[in-house]
Amino acid sequence: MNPYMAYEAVNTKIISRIGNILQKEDWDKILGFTTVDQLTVFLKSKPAIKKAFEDLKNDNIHRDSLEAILGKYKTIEIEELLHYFSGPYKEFVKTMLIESEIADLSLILRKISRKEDLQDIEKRFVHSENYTNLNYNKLLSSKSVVQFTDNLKDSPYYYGLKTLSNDDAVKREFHIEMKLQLVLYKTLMAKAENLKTSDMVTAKNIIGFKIDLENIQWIYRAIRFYDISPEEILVYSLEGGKKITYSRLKNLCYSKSKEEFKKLVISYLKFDLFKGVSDSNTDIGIDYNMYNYLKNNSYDNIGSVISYIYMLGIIIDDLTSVIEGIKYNVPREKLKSYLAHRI
Amino acid sequence: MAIEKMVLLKIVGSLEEIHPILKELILCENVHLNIDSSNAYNNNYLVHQYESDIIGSSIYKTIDYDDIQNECTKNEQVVEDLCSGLELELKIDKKVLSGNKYSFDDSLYDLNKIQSEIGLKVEEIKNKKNEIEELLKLRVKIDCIYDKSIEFDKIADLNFFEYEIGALSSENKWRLKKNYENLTAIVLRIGIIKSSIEDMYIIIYPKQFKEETTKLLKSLNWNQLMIPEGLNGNSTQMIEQIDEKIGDLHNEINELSNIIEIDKEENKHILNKIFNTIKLEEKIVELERKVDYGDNLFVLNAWVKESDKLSVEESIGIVTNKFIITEKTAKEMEKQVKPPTKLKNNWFVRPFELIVKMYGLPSYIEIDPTPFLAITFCLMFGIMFGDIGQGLVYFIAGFVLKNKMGTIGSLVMRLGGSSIIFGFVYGSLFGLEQAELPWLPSLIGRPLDPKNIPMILLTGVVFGVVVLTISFIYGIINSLRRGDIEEGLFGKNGVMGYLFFISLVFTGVSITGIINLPIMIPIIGLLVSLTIMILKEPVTNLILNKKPLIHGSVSSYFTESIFEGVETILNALSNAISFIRVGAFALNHAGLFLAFLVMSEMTTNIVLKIIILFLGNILILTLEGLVVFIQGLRLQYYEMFSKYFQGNGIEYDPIKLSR
Repeated sequence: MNPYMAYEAVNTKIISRIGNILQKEDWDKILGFTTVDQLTVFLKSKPAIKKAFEDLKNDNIHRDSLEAILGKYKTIEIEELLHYFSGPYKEFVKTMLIESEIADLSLILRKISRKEDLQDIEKRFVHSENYTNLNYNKLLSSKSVVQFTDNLKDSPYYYGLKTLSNDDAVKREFHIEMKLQLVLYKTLMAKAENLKTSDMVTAKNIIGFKIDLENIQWIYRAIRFYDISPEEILVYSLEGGKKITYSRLKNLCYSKSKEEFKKLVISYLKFDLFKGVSDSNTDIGIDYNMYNYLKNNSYDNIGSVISYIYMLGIIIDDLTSVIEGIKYNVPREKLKSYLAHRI
Repeated sequence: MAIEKMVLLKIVGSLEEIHPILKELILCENVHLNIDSSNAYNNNYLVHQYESDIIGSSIYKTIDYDDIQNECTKNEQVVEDLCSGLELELKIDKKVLSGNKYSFDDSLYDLNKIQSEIGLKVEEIKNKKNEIEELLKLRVKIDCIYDKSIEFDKIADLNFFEYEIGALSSENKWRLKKNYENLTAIVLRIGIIKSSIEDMYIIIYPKQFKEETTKLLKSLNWNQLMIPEGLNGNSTQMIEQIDEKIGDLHNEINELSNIIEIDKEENKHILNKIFNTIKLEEKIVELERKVDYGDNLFVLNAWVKESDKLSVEESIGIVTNKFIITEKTAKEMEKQVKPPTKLKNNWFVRPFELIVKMYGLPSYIEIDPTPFLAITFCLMFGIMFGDIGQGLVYFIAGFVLKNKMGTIGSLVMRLGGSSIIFGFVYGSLFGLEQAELPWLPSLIGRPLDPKNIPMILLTGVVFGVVVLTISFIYGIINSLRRGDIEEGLFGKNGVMGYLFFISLVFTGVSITGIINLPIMIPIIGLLVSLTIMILKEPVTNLILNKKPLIHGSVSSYFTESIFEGVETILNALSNAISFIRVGAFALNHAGLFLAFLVMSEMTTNIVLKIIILFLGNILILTLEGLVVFIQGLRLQYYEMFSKYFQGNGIEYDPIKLSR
């Protein structure tokens, strides 16, 4: 028995939740909606997601967009799961909240660097107010990127961003994204070290696979869209991948062409990540493969929690894609191809 | 009555006078404004009623509150900057504002004057201090370079190479090192910065690779060392120059400080006045945004203590006579809105308000549980932890804590006092009893005396029955005050609930034969009360002549009601037994010390004996004291409060100046 984790309680909760979120026929219905209101009404009728709307009633910030409500839903779920943990396990699960925190930090930084109005930005926040150590009021009072990074002092995010100038924040947005990701995965891996051996191995396996996918996505995007040297690409890549070791990472960064890169990825991962994916949508392959990986593995330890949180994230990503699809009148078949769920 | 009586004053005034009226209300510090739920106060009606009575200027200027707010924030920042430069502390002090005509505009005028006199100098001092800070950081970096003879300006003029000196973390250095073969630059560590994750490096690269190298360094969070103009030579020379520069800056700061010191006392007084005036203006704007307006009047709902009513009216009367005050008692308003609660207790009971507030504040119509809690908590603690010496330690500890922690200290003092009294009842001094100290006075003798054990346990139960009876009475009164007849008469915490509880107690009494009572009497009481509790909704509706007798589905009502009946049976049983712990802990207290006493008797060494008894007392004072406190709290919150206390009141929070 693990004194830090009420495993039976967590597992029962997770099993009952994950199956109930959205079924195949639900996705079919969702793709037929033509307005965001229809989607909202539908989601409110699903018991698992309905909670997202109810829980937010007690929040003092009124979120007016469905995307923000869903984003916050994942945070609330993690917060609820935290009640079942203590000690190093609680610390580990808490680290999974960093993802929503870095989403909000990137949002504020983007707005500040582009000199956009920060009014009502709180409505789009998805981070956990209960578990954050950051002073968001202070961050929001920042008048420049430099002041913003100064206000991050004493937080783990400071070091990666401290040399950032306003120009960098606009022209090298990937710097922000990758440096913050680095904090997330480094902390996750460090916290995983404190778990029991079997839990640590599982946690590192799942996170390592996620890191592999994130690295592939990053390098592919960097080669195709950004004018940066292989040395820089390598510096920004994440450590701790499962199948892609440092030397393999180096090979990927220095690959001469898109084709060579794809070939290397397939040989390292032993499956075709790019199958049926258009060049502009590398995210889809990542979410789809992560979803499959998690679905094909069952866990009777901390893995079930990580898996649930990641799967929930993918479902929310897909719903967000649907919302965007509805807003921009994307045809149903095309929208289908954007989703990680194969319908 | 331990809850202060409140009245609602509806203040209707002319728009022209809103500013001075609000100023007086803030400064008198005894007005609780409940402006967020103004709809419930029917202010629209008042606006229409008095619109024609109060005639103000027809051209009342519309106010842009955001502008005033921004003006306040901006000037507050200026005041704070000046004060931090002058090393002054700002304090909220309403005395500097009352009774004079010093306006917000006057304060801005004074602030401009001070700013023009010393603002520049203060700014200059601040900049120089920042400069010193930067120079010190630079000094650390230059000082850590191993080779003190490198002259950086000399290697700056190479034909084909460029260089950069800066700090790099070990993690990023590792990343560079692993890919060193692909780099077009030479990277050399030239120093170690103490207490930092970064070290100093020099990077030399061919000029044609400048752009590529700069980008790479950006990705590595390269922190380039920027050597300010005027510094040259090797690192030893540079450090000398930095020290000299820091010395000069200190001298300049001293000179500037001497100038601004001259009028420091006078400026301190004026700046504090300005600060308080700005804070007052901010508060007024905050309230002005929230009151209800007519065309030329405003309406404000102010809850005040009945005893403060006249002084509030007088405060407004000082600044204007164009106002109307109508008064409503809390009783008239309590159906629509919740009046705020202000507890009013004597010196002995007051510290126990802390325990009540930890659970919740009584609503205005509820009975304040504090006096009852204070008496019963002291009794419980005393019975469970009766000892003259240990009580005295708590009393003294409470007295010492009183200055630092206020209420908590006072609370500990009272509990210690109760412990001393019961120490005399049991005849116990630091655990030693009459057997060890024959001169010790005692009322009933040691708790562990075989003849005392049943009596002490029984006392716990009897004590429980008495306090629960009072709790039921409080609960019934509170329910009836809320107009909740169903709960008050037929609910599990109402009259029927009590009848059930007391019948259960008498059933036990009858079975044990303590009193010669036919068992059928309490059993009839049990059955009658349980049946009525199950049927509470239809019975209430029948009495009140309301139809239908049961709202919603009849079957689900009975399912729910029967389950509630079962819960009532279990609760009554646990309630009656729960208070045994009061007696049990009295025995436990004596028993725990007995263990140490026996241990001390195992040795003949007097010093060891004293050490064992001392350790025993420490353990009892810390661990057992805490356990007894928690048990007392549990009985109060769980067994007693659940019977009569809801604790959903709003705290009386008068508006006042605050930082």
